Amino acid sequence: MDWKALLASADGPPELAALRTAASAHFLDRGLPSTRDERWRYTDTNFLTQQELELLRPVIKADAPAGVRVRPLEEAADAAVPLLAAEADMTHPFRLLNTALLRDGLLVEVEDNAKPERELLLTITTTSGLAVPRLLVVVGENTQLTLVERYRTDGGTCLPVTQFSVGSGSRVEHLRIHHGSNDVHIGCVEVRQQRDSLVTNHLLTFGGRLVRNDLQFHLLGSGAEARLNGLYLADGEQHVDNHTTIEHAVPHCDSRETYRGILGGKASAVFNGRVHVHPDAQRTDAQQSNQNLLLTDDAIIHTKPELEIYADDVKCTHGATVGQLDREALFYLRSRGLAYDEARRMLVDSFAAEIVRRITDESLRDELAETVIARLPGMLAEAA
Amino acid sequence: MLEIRNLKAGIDGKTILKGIDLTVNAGEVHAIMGPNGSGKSTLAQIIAGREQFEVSSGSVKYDEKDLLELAPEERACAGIFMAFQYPVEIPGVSNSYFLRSALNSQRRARGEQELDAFEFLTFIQERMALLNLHEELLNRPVNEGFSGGEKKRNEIFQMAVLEPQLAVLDETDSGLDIDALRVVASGINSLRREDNATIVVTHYQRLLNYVVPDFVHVLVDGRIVRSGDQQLALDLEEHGYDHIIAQAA
Ligand SMILES: Nc1ncnc2c1ncn2[C@@H]1O[C@H](COP(=O)(O)OP(=O)(O)OP(=O)(O)O)[C@@H](O)[C@H]1O
Ligand SMILES: [Mg+2]
Repeated sequence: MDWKALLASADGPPELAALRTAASAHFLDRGLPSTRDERWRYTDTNFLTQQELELLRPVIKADAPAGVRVRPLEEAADAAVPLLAAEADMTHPFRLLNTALLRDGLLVEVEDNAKPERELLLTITTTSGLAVPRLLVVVGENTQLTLVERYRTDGGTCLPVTQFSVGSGSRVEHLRIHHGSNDVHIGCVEVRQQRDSLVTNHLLTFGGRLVRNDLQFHLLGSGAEARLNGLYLADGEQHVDNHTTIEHAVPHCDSRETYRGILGGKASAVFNGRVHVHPDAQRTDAQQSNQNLLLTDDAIIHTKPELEIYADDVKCTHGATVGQLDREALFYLRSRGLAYDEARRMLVDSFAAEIVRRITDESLRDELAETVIARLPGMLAEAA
Repeated sequence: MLEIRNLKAGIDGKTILKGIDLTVNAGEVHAIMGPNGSGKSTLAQIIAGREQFEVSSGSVKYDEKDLLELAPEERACAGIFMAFQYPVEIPGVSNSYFLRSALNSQRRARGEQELDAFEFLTFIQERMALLNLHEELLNRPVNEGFSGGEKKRNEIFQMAVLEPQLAVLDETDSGLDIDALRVVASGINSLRREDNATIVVTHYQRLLNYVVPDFVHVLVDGRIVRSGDQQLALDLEEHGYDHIIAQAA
């Protein structure tokens, strides 16, 4: 891949040209991450350099309820500029690349006190080449939004970046669902939360050749709460990497992080959960858990909590488990007449259901429960 | 119905059962008593099909079939049920979903129509009344957070729903208060028929006052050292195992 030539071909709204150029220079300076970098130790992306990637525009479909304003970035570039002010200084290489090629995406706005009646549904489809969609979501004060971001990618490389700014007293539920198979998906989510806001993120990954998610939550106003739920399913030679960071910048904020993974075949996964409690952030209550179910001996999980606590009056807990299917439970179910396969499916499904059941909307919850169930027979057959 | 001949079995190279002979016919109730660690649960689990135990010799026949050849689920579908001494908690699977799947799986195996959600509910409500079970327990995950007594009652509830031909109840009376014991015992009794049989493993004569056994066996160190009628259980209660072992020697 000739990154220079690719970046030189970048095109898009003139209002964003200066930003693209600055990000481009920064990216070329840094290059792709090295596996010597602790944050990328298990996720080697250098194979991208060996590939020829054609810049392709993703297809973004939006189904918006009344009360939610959705505009293509190309038509809302003026309004987007201030939201992107810090982008050229970011250090995440793929976020920089997204900025350097910035063109496609949406600006989503919910006004103060608005009451959208249903969820905003976004479907982003890419089939080949390289796509860099960007979503800017600005949620006002005392309002609410449910956003479903669905990525359908059969191949190619997608580097999406989603940024939220959530005003005081607002509630946001964000589902980010990735249905992949033979694709590369490296996404960033950044959430900035003001006073008394509640953001619940559900990150659901159903496989992909290489999937990486970097989530950054900034709790900037007291009383803010972030809930991060994650479920990742991978088998074959798939690799899933979830890196989360929660910045507790002010006192009296809560974070609840619950990630579960089910790995079959020779799949590998990474969970890295960083919680950073700043010196002023007294009365922080941060809880983190990561549980993994390995269906085969060849599946690998690297799980690592990272707590950096600089305040003294805080409550921070974390726990990680890696296990196989519970033999006692399996025998119990079989002794009641359930066939071996059915018993295994029931146990794995119930493990995943602990995450899926947290989705508020019933039809989405049911649909995702079905998606899990549909995925299991293949994973279990491979592991039998 | 069940014929165990010279059964020797163990785990990880350690011998636990050292030659068990036991015949159970339809309509009978057998009690197995014995000191801790003598192998009672091992025997129960081998009947249910626990694969971790290795059978080194002997045979177990069930209705003329070689039981040891069957997978646990095949045994269940053939009518065998074991109430666990320590029922397993299964987070995330509701009791009712679990039981309906189990019942329908058994019905399928027997070539019977599966019950839909409504038929199932009607059926189990009647069975729950039998055991004084709270409806709320149906929607909770299997055994999760159940008290010791609730777990035991839940085992007998499952038995009432699955209607086995041969039930092996491993210390179902342990951890039950007096009232619960009476409820569970009357549940067991109401499920007794001419064509089914029950093996109760217990440490206490108390249960046998309610569920009256036809035979009592004393299992010590992997062998049945004495068999008798209900009187044997009374003697044990009075004199303890040492006395019985000394007599047998
Ligand atoms: N999974 C196992 N691994 C190793 N040893 C075992 C295992 N299961 C049972 N044993 C051993 O086998 C012996 C018999 O155990 P078992 O559970 O059958 O006894 P029991 O008669 O049911 O005792 P209790 O009255 O305490 O329930 C004991 O010494 C026990 O430690
Ligand atoms: Mg026992």
